[in-house]
Amino acid sequence: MAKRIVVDPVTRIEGHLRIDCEVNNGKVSNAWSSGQMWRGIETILEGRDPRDAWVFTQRICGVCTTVHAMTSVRAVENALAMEVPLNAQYIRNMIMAAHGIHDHIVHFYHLSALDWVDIVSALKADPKAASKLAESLSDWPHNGAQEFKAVQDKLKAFVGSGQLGIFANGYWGHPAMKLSPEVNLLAAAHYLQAFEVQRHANQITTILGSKTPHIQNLAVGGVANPINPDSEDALNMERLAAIKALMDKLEQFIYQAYFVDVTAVGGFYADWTQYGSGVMNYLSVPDFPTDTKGTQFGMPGGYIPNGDVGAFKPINSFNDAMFEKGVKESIKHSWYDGDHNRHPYKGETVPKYTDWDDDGKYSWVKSPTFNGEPAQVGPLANVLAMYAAGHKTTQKVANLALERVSAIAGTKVGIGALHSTIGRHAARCIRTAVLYEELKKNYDLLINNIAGGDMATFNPPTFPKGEQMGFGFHEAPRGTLSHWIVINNGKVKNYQCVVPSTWNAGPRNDEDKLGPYEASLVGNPIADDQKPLEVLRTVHSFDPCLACAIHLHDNERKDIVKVNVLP
Amino acid sequence: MSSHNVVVLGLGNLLLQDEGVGIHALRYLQSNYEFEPEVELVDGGTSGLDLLQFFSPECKMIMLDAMEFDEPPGGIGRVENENILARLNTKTSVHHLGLSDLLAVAHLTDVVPKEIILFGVQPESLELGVEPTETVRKALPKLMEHVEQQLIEWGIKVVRKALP
Repeated sequence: MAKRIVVDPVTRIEGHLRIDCEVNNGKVSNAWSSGQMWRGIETILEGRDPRDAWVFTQRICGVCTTVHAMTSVRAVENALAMEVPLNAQYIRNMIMAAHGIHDHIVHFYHLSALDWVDIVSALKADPKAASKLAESLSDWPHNGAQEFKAVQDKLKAFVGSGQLGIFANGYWGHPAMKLSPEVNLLAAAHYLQAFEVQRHANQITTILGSKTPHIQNLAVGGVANPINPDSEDALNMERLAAIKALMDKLEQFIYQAYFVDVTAVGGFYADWTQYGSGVMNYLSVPDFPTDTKGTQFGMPGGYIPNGDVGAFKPINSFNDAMFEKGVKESIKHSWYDGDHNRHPYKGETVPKYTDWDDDGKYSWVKSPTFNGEPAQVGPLANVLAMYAAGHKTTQKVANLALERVSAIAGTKVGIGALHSTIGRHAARCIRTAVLYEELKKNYDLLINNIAGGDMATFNPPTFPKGEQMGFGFHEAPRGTLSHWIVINNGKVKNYQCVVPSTWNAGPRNDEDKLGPYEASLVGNPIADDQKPLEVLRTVHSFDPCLACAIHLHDNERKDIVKVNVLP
Repeated sequence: MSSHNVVVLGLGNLLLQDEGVGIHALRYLQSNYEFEPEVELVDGGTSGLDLLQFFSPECKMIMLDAMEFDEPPGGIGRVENENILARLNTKTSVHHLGLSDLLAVAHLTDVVPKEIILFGVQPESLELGVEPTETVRKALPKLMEHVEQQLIEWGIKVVRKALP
């Protein structure tokens, strides 16, 4: 008999994402993904100056501030057919690369590793054996027995005090946890070290963007950073040297820790290459433009139908017609008024909540399609596209990753294994290495361009009378993000954001085909329906981030919290 | 790590009226006050882990946020140190390492500030809108008095800027 499991909320604080699964004989047989909060933030932009839109869009989400800012200025630039100075492209590219590296590292270590790594088991490890194992895998300098012992003592103190903190409610001891205590300890140590490393990536964004978490340096038409190698207040040689030092630290961690850890987890959990494929139409967009018009890109993107890499169709420019025409959003299964399937220029966001209905409406997320089909977005889609496009760095890093996984798993693991839950983690790590190489490249391009005497960073926009339409895209850490704008007489008339988690977390589409989360869950094993760890593994592998809106400080735990009411 | 001894962290979503009260309060502080020695004013938005960079065991911290605590809208509450939720509710979540998660990570990585005081304001409306409600706007000067008092207690000289 089928049982129903409801995981609600999947997301930590706000309860945006609810996942329902029907389980038959220990396997998921049907699934529903439901965004539990309305996101109508686009309506705030109507009537505003398009030059200010990015300031508001970067407030949509607390994690993806930078990406919404970037995509917004691109949309306006596209509507006005503007070119962006080279220095501005390079500076934006470096911010995007640093942000992406930060995001991918945090996702693996802090948001999903504990689905695979058993912290309580790490307490039983022999630190010397763990250190020996770690040193056999990598040259990372922080794998010493003493360091591991210190980590273990720290974890013991946490667990012993009964205050698990960030480790509370993990599925410790779950039958699907398979790593040895030593591997768990190694991973736990890197989990802690990664907190420090993510700061380095953030510092690069801070230097270039003037501030984090909300960058200040963007402008429609370029960036606001003055460049002057000799001025204290501008982007100068001293600041550039500081960035280089931070980049070196990132390089070491990415290649000697992150890459090694992900391939090890992939090898030990090679059975998870069988689960979680789901929707195998993949969409990604090219990014890291190296010309002023957005026709040359450091990282390719495009569309791959049915997992067939040979059928890859590249997206070639910021004006790409296939992309512009290909995107639609259906509201047949979403709590909005009506039942239409529309292009984002014509999109509407009129909420109409009705109860949960398995066959009808059950989510606040719309269901986007590309060329009429649901599509998966994210690092896996991007890596497959770059691989298909013959991108050398991607091919090199991906092949190296597969070799390492094969060696640990003791069986040949090919590129096809990436279409899976664990494959999404591998792809994210491969993409991190590619992002790092892109960061390095744009750093050199910027320095050379400045050395050549080009200090330009901004082309001022002008708004003609009448109506203009445009779209901007960005291959964000969670996948393809696009903003669509209609401008009328210099004011925003319509604005729609089609975000990565909408592509992946969307409900059934207008033809009732399952969305990527839903399809990826079908066939997943479930060892214990009271502890659906396997559901979390697959959903987390997408790096969900739903519509990020409310973050009210809710003191509901009255037992431990005392509020003094002030006069 | 913050190089300042005192950090004021505004939190909230600017697009949802009173949800953004922490940021509105921070901006008010920015434009109407001067501090000696300098105080670091941080617009934290709805970020989580990104804010870890402002934590250090050498600093004292004030947090400004919207807070649900069963008071009439505009009411101001104060929560201190370990009473601010320093734990996670569940591990089932992924994103939005929110404030409680941030504090849990600060504990784990030994960067908890010497003192943390959260001043929370009971919101009236969380509907879409970039301005706070009148009720909550009127509570801002009162909130500023509490912040000012706290800073003075920590040895900061607080000067109200002259009106133009």
